[in-house]
Order: sequence, then structure tokens, then C-alpha cells
Amino acid sequence: MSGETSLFNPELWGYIAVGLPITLQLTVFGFLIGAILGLPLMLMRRSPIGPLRWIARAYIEIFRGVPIIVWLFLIFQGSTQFDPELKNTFTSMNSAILGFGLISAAYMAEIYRGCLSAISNGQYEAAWALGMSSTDVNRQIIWPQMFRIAIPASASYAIGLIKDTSIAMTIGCTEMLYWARNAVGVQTTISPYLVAGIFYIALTLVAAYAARRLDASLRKKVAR
Amino acid sequence: MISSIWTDFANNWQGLLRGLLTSLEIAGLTLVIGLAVGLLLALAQMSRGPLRYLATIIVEAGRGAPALVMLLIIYNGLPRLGLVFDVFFTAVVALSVTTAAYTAEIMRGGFQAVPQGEVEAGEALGMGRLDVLRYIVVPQGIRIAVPALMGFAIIIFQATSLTYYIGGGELMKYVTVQAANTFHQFNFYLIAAVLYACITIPASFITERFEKRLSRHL
Repeated sequence: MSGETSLFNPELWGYIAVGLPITLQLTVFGFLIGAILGLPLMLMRRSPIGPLRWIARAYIEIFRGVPIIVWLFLIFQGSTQFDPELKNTFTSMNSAILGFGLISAAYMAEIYRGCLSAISNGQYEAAWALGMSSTDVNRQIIWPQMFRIAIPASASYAIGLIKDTSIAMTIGCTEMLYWARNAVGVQTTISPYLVAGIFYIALTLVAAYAARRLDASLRKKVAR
Repeated sequence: MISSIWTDFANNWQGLLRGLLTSLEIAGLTLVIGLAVGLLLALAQMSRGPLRYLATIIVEAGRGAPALVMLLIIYNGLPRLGLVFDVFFTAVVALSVTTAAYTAEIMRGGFQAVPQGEVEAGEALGMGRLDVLRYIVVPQGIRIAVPALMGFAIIIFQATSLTYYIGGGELMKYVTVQAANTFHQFNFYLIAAVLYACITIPASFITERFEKRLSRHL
């Protein structure tokens, strides 16, 4: 980047904003994979079959218990130990999305599980009393409510994920912090990092506002 | 493959454990400083003066900025303020800022969960505002906040892995160096994952147990 790295240099803001689409891609794809994989994982976690339950429990504990950065390095660099050609498959972007997705699945499974236990037994009983099959009970009565109740917790997880995507910079994803790091160059200045920090705070504020709106609009349609 | 992982562990176990110990030290010292500052921030946020706004700004900025961004700001920023620390202490300072911001919010939640009737009872006994805080709100509020604080302690222990980016001797740094030297990337990152899990998984079980015990009477 030409020019000085002053906080008031618009060029610096533009330079870091280049990473915004990548930050959003990492967040959205990571969250989507997690939201989808979280569902079967939650079902396994609640399964009456012991081994299924244990596998799910182990998955959740391990993926939540190991730092994100270790997962990213394990996927991105670890794959090259077996075949250097794998680096074309596990690019930094693919590795990061896969890593965030697998970690998110563990968190989302726990969020779904918490929301499921918040649905009162009366809902099941009423559905059974109407003669609905257990698939129908789940599909038409329980799960819609579960997803609806899960919105605030999922949103705060997603907001945390926005910030966690900054870690993908360490494996070379060109997201916002990567460009901030680039702008700093060899000199010790902090303004690019401050700009990145302001971008992240702005993103989380927008996401929190959107989540509140979504929650409020759905609340009107569902009796609680 | 299993045997090559074991060989890598056996040849480096001293360095690996020293790294893990350093990670634990960073996390421990961070929690001591971060919790103390967090308590002050929580109290400042509940005060009535203009201090409240300053504390809120610090808490919101500390929670809004990713830990890695905070780390890099502190790493580049401290020397500019004339404060030159070694990497270990720089890491502690940076993580302490994040810790203080998050734990302030957790503790404030705990303080607010103390029933208003208790505060009123204290006031009815003629206790001053400070005494009500000191003898009624803070002791009970902290107790309510303990499970959430324990959960956060596990998160901040994991966050020490970010400090590899500024160097220093914690586990992640050691592992990245060894992985690059031996080209056994998978082996070393897997070993790191296991070592981190050896701390975090028992810790999360203890937290869960503790939470159940605290809510036994509810």
C-alpha cells in the first residue's frame, strides 16, 4: 500500500476492506456447514443407542476442546505430510471453511440440544393425542419450534465466529486481518489493526441487530 | 503412522510438556490480572458517575475486537508507549484485556442476578451503597458467575495458542517449529490437539459438575 498508515487515511480503510468478502465467506460457509451437520450430531447425541451417543459426545468435546488454530493447521499443513499435492485440495480457504464448519457443528449440536429441552412436553403429548406419527411430530411440531428458539443462541455463536475467522489469517486466508497485517509491513504501527478491530466491531453490531430483528419478527408468528 | 506419531512425541516430550506448561502459565497469569481488572470494570459499569461510560466503552471494544487483533495491537502498541516487555508478558497483557472485558460482562450478569430484595434489605439496615456492594452483591454475584467464569477460563487457555503468532515458548509455537523442521506437520499438530484436549476436556467436565452442584438447590 502506498501512502502512510494513518488512522485518518481513507486508503488504509479501503485496503483492509478488501478482506471483507473473505471474512464474510468464512463466516457464512463455516456457519452453514455447522448448522447442517449440527442436526444429525444432536440426534446422535440424544440417541438411545450407546455407541452413537458416545461418538457424538466425543466429537463435541474434542472439537470444542482443541483451539481453532490447531484445527486449521492440522487440516491445512497436516494434510501435506501425506502428499504434498494435497495442498491443492486443502487450500487455505478450503481448510479454514472445513475447520470452522466442523467446529461449528459441535457448538450448533449443543445449541440445538439445549433448545430441544426447552420445548415443553405438552407439545409432544398434544401431537400424539392428535394421532401424529413420531416423524410428523418432529418434522411439523418440534423442529420448527427448535429452530425458532435456537435463533438467539445461534446468532451469538455466529457473531463469535465472525471474530474467530480472523484466525484464518494465520494459514494465509486473505481476510481483513491479513490485509491489516500487510499494511503494517515491517514498521511497528497499530492503526491498521485498529481499523480491522473497528471493522469487526461494526460487523458484530450489524449482525446482532439483524438477529434481534429476525427474532422479534418470528416471535410474533409463534405463540410461546 | 501411529508409531511415527509416537516417535515424534517420545523424541520431543520434554519440549512439548514445557510448552504446555508455558501455555498454562500464560493462562493462569492472564486470569489473575484479567479477573481483577474485570471486577473493577464490572463495578465501574454499575456506578453512577461518568466512569460508567468509559468502562462500557472498554468492555464493548474488548469484546468486539477479536483476541488476535487485540494481541497484535498490544504487541505493536506497548513499545510505542515506551513499555517494552518480553513476549511472555506481552501475551499476558493482551489476553488480559480480552479477559477483563468478557469477565466484566459475566460478573455484571452475576451481580444483577442478586435479588433486588437483598439490596433493599441491606439498605433498610442502614448499610451504605459501598457496604451493600461489598457484603451483599459482590459475594453472591461472584458465586452465581463462577460456572460461566470457569467456562471462560477454558476458552482463554485455548486462546493462548494465538500467542504463537508473536513468538514465545508456549505449546503452539513449539509445535509449529518442530513441524516445519521435520515436515511431520500432521503428527505434531495432532499431538498438540491431544495435549490441549488433555487440559480442556477434564476442565469442562469439572465445570459441568460444579454447575450441577450449584444448581442443586434451585
